Amino acid sequence: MEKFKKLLPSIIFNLAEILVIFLAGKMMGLRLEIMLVIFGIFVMIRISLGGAMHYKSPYKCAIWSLLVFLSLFVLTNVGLGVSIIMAIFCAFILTTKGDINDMFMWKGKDTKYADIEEYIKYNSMETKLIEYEEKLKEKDNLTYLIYKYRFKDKMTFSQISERLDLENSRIVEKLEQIAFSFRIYFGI
Amino acid sequence: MYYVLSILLGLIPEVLFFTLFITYTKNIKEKRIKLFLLLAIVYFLCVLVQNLQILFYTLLIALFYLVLKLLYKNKIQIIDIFIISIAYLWIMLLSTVMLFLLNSDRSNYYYLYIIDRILLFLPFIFKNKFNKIYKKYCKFWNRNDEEKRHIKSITLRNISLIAINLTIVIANIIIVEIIKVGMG
Repeated sequence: MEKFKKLLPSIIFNLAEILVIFLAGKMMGLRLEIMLVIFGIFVMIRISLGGAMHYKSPYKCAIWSLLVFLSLFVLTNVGLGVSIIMAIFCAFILTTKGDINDMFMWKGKDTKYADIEEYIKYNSMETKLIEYEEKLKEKDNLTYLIYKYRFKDKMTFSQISERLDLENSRIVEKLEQIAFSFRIYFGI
Repeated sequence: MYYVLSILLGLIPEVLFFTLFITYTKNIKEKRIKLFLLLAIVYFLCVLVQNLQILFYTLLIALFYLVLKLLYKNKIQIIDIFIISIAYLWIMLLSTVMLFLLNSDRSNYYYLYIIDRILLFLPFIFKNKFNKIYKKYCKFWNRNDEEKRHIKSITLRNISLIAINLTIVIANIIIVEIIKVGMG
């Protein structure tokens, strides 16, 4: 009961927010079932993906939600199908799944260097590995940075490319060299 | 004749514009010809299938993104959909201006069309700034509460989403009007 009392103001606020969204849709001349379809799809996708993004201020959250839904409602003039597609896309973007490096749709498993990744994972404190890293650093700092960003910091190609201002082809070339020397050094 | 002209003055300049816009923004230097050809094929197929109606715009943005993903894999991020939309918005804005300038007897139609195609490439005067702006856009995209920012990640996403939705709505109105005018 105590918990419910605490949650009551936010429940009322959310209901009021939904009511305003539906009233705005009604003022645009939309049918209730169409609004329900768009709203329902958006909410369901957002809940099922998890990691929904919110403002700290509920008022800001309400205003932006209203604007996003209004733009989706306007889209129904183009076609309900388009509006539904965009509702799904909006729901996806407004979660942490829409982060630049967290795209579940496309994150393919890079198995090319899986052996190296695994070795580093289980031998991170090994003296031989630390020695290898120091040697690499002494020999060529750029190669070491690529090694560090790729295998230790688990950065993507685009992040490494941005950080070091290098083209992808150059990173690939350096990674091939690293992988070759790593495998020989550790006999894997 | 209409279709030949629409390929020469419509498809080729627009696909070239998209290719240049994407490559300058993302600082892509490889597979540019492949990109141009694939975008041209996709554009052509979209015109054939959808005939510039309802789903065409959404389909085009989605397929352009898929082509980019196919060619450049990890280098392409979800926010690149918005880059395609911004390029699209520029085409729409120009077309809207040209529609307003069109005489009632359509006597200046081809002059305006050619001016439109030339102005299409006007933003490339600032092509060096594209990648810098894109990097800033990327920087603000992911949430980071530890850093003080001019714009919150969620605000940037909301603005981008509203912009893409409105682009589709405007595109739907404008393109249909252009086709009507073009068909006479």
